[in-house]
Amino acid sequence: MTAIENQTSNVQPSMEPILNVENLNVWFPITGGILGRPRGWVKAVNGISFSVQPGEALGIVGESGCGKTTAGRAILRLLPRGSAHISGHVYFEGQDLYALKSRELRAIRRHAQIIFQDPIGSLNPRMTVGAMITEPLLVHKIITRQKVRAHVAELLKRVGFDADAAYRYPHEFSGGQRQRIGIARALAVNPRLIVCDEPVSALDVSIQAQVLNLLADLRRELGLSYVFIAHNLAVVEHFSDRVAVMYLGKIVELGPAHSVVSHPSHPYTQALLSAVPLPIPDRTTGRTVLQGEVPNPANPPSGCPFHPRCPLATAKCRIEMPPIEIKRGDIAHTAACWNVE
Amino acid sequence: MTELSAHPAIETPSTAPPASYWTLAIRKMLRPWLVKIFAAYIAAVLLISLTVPLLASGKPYAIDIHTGNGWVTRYPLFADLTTRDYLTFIAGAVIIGIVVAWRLTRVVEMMRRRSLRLGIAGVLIGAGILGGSALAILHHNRFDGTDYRALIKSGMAKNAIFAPIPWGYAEMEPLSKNAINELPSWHHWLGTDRSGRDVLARMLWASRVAMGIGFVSQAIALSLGIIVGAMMGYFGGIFDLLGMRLVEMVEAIPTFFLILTFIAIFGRSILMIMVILGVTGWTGYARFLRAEFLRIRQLDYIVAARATGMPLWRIMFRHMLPNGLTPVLVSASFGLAGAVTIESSLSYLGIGVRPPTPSWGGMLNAAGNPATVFHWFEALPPGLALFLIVLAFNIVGEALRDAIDPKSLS
Repeated sequence: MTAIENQTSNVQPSMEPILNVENLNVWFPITGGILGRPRGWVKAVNGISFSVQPGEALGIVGESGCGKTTAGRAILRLLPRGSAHISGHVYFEGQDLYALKSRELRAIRRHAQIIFQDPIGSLNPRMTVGAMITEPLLVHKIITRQKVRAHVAELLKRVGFDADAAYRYPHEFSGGQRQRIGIARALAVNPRLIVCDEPVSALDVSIQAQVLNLLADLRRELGLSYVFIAHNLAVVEHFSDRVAVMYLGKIVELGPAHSVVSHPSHPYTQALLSAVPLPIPDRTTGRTVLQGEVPNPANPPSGCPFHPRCPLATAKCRIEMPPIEIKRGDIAHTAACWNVE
Repeated sequence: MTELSAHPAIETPSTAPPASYWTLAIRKMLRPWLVKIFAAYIAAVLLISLTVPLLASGKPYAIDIHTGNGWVTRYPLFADLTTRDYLTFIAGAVIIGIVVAWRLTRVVEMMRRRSLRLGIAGVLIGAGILGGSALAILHHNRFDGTDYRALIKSGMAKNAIFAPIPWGYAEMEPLSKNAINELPSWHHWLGTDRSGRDVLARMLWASRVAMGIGFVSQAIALSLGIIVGAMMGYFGGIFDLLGMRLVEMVEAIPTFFLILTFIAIFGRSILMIMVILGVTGWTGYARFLRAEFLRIRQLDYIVAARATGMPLWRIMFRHMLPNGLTPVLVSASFGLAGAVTIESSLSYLGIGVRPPTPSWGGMLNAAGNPATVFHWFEALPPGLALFLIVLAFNIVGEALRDAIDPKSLS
């Protein structure tokens, strides 16, 4: 992958983390009956903790349904109020987002933005690109009306458009172009953290590289931090400094990207990696194919959630959830498994 | 073989402003010729209902009258208009002016366009309010019982300029002429009714009642439905639960009997009927908007708007409402048809507008009943007008629904 630069240089580990997630739980109620009382919970995110340093890109990978998108929304407090039971703490630049009043929350929201997977649903069809980008600037009084045009033109240029694009509606653009407009909208408010929720999954491969390069350039130029959510480990590896692997609402492995990819500790990560297609036509060995389906998150297995599909599972796995602990000594590479050292 | 174009399409900035969603939808809606005709019919009836005091009146626009001091020019029609007529003109002119200004300013560059539009709208509305209040204070219409036609015949007046239909809605032919239930003639284009009044003049005046009741009641219903539906759909939870119960309770009210009861207690009032139709007719709009808001609030662009810290009202009314309004507007066009039908039913039963104010339903009744002779030429025009306006609202509503169908919007 020559198109995408791997960069670990602008992380400053000594600084206070820009984002610190502590034991975050997001449980969606399963309601029933006339009164709508919850009969059970879908534990979409079940006790995850991680932190992101300023300038760092943290990748989150996992299958569909593992809770990575929910986690992405929850760390920006973007889930609709009352739709889920949320506990734990999310500290953004030291402030607990879930302890803030809505007025305070609105004031700091612009420092953390989000980019979406679906390039169609993420842009308001009734607003011109210019209106979309300028609205937050004017509402937050970041910029005066006189300077708006120049600012919009500069933002659009940064993501590869003419200033003319400001007068167009989203339906006049292709998927990759829309994704770049979504990036311009997120950048407009000068954020310090951007959650990228599968930003390239819906795009053609040729456009994927273009968008990933744009995100990488922006990171280098603006010193942004990313939480990069994807199901494609290859994309995440080249984009991120560290990678978290999620399975059924839990982080099962977390470590530096190259270490997780070259020395996966958790059997799930190993299976995930072996599923990455390699340009070796006759490779037949070393492929771990998982048996069974992802369990129902409303009724997760006891103990380690991966044990029904795990080739290494023992009796202990069925009873007790393994703690996430360091597996590769000095480089803070952690995993949650009883059976690997 | 034709030469294959080798160069990629060069993006030339188009000079025309990009068409907004609504422009596209309305253009598409009006594409079939049938819809064009019915939309034009609605527009014509609306225009007539706004300008009818100038179109059908027994008073001349201008007339020279012989008085003690010689010939004097008078303007009886304009003196005879009520303050409400003038206020209607002013309101209509302001609305048309805003619409025209909106269209004309499309070419203005975006950032200036909005302030320009708001400015023009502000000036027009301000001028309308000023002019309207000045008129309300200064204008007094006195009852003018002069028979100008008799004056002309007697030679006391000359040079009269009459309205296109020179009859008022309550103006009767003298009993001596025995001109009741006349067939159409050059004198009375659609004949006269049982009191010797011109049917065409009454037809045109009746459009005022029909349009007034339709648009005012649906405006009330839309406002209520949008507010309640938006709250239910956006907040969900307890708002949704209580809101839906309220919707169900209001839907259980039999509107027709409610109107009958109110008329029995408070007497006839067209305004009361408008308000009752509005206050009981919002539930469908609230349901539609609630469903739309439940869908839209999960879309990524709403999440993005929340992520940029937009205030709640802005998300609800600037991001969500324009995207959720279309099905509501479709159903509003059916609501208009329904309100017109209810009004004509009430008038047919003799409990709608107070006579001699004409309404299509009342005219149908006046055309005859089992106890008297049925005059088909008196029943046909109001019946046809009523049938066509209801059909027109339904056809335009259907066309709008097809036009905004995402599967067909090209």
